[in-house]
Amino acid sequence: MTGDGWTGFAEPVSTSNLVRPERAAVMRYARLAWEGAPVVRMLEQRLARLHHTEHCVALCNGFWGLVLAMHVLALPGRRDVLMPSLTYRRMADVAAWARLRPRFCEVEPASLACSAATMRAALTPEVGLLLGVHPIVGVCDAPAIEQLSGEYGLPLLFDSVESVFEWVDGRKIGGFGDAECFSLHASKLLNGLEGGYVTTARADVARRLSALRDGRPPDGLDLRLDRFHAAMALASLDDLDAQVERNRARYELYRRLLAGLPGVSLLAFEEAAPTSYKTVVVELDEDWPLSRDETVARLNASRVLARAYYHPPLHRKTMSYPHVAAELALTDRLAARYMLLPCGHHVDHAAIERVVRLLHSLVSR
Amino acid sequence: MIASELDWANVESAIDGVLDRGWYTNHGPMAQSLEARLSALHEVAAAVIVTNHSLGLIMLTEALGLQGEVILSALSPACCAQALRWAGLRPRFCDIDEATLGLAPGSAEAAIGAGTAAILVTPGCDPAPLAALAARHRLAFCRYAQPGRDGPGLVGLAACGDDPAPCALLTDDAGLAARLRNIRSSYGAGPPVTVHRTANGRVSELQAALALEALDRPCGAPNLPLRHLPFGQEIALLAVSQPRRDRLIARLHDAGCPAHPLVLDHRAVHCPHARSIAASCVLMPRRRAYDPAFVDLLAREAA
Repeated sequence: MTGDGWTGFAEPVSTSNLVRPERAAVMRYARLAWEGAPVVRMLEQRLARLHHTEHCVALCNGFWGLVLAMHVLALPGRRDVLMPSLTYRRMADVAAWARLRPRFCEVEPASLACSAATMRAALTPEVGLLLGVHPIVGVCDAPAIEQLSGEYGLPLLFDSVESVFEWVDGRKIGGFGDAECFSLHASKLLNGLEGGYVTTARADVARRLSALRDGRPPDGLDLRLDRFHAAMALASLDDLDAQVERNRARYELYRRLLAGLPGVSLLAFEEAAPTSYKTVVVELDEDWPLSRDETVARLNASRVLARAYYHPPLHRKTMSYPHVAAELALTDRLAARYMLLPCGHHVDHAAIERVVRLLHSLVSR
Repeated sequence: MIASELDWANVESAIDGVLDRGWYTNHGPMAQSLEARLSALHEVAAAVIVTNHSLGLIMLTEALGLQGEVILSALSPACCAQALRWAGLRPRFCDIDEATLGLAPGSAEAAIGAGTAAILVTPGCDPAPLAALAARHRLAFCRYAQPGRDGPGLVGLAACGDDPAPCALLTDDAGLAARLRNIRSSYGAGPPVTVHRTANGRVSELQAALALEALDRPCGAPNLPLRHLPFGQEIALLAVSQPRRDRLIARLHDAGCPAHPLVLDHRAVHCPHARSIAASCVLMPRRRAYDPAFVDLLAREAA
């Protein structure tokens, strides 16, 4: 309970984006889909343009997009895919489906992202694929990781699920490495209900991914995107710039309100280049009186569905499939400090003020 | 050429509902309602809806913890064997019974060895002797594209046009259902249980809403004048002979229908009955109802 007697939100406020594009736009694309227009292809073409790349292959979800991309890109005869441990909680499972062993590396403390240096430190001759991962806020140094990939002759895949809108060094995310994977899940920047896509500049990779996605013999798997999901994603694309403005306003409000709260630091978006402002992440430092997990629990009790940032890190998870055990002290430390605060379509400015007041009440006890 | 299954009004209403509720995926009210309806309809303890048959089969074998060989009909859709390989299993093709076109129990029994993990049956056969065979040898028994009480089954749900159709995994085994839900990664759909690895096989609220609409529409066998059987995303027409098959494919192409021959997996060519039937089969898109002009064309060819 806060000082004013407030006991919590009537409806939970979550960290999921759940953006709702204009109904008229959704219906327009859905009608096209209904009439047999190639809306999945239309979506792929628009996404390729958005990401300034040649090819885009849409799939039923991002998880299987990652599996297929790993399967296609990994060097034959090598067992491992190198990835940061502080990432998507199912990424090790993704590697297992691609019949690769996850091998984990550290991240940089400032960006929470893997870098050429952290990946180089974990490289072994068994690595057959580099998986660069963009963090939830900001980006990794993709050009430097590309250089590393070239230096060792290793294929490079990026998990760019959180970086649809971002740029690095004047280049749009989507055209780095051999391929990049994205999600169209409702919680992401582009809401396709369920869905995912892979971008690549390589025609051979796009052809192979399409054949696999379409279930073609001998080794395809039916992973096609539903046409109405494509319609929803197209409508989300129409709304993208407006959405980013709404996200920016929420982020600015958090920045202003959290400025006076000791022990809580908002992770800042790099604003020199376009950014989505989608997700709000804070770091709890030594001045904050509670552990991160206790803070999350207290917030959840008031129906503020704050979440720990990528916790537990992958190297701490129990895995019953082949993997490379790792000790990553920095990742362990970082994994205990960050959390996501409510944001997205259903979180209005009054809710943000309430969330920050709730945080104030935790520190004043 | 081919009639649609749902009206635009159904689609519009389903989209409106999803947008109004703002619950897009992750086991929302439509998905929960669909699972409850399917469970009641098929009189099983649990129905777990997943993205499509291929992912359904992968997730089922994963939840059953299968390793080794899976016996299946040489006339199974290619997607079955491909899904099994993605799950790390070895498909073992066995010959069919020419009368039913399903897996022949004698052929299946002859193939059972130390590495056999399961028998997978596809539509067309009497499953009882195969279920008994599986029980006798302590093998898992699964039904692909059909419901049943003698082991978990996968049933397809209606989709619009050529969309990949979601499917439901039906089972009376509560533990298996719980593992399936955890592998599917459906947030909040039941208690967490330990699984080897998760996947993503979620069905969106719109897909669930459309499948619910389709459940309310009576659906008989396709109105086709040739013997046929469901074959993955397609339907297999039996055209009697290879020359007639080739002529039928040509006519269907002329009518705008993407028909093609059934090509057996190269590991299945040792099965003479399956090879003979495959040589007379035409694969074409699967629909709940076909346009009368299209049916007339097939009838003329059949005559």
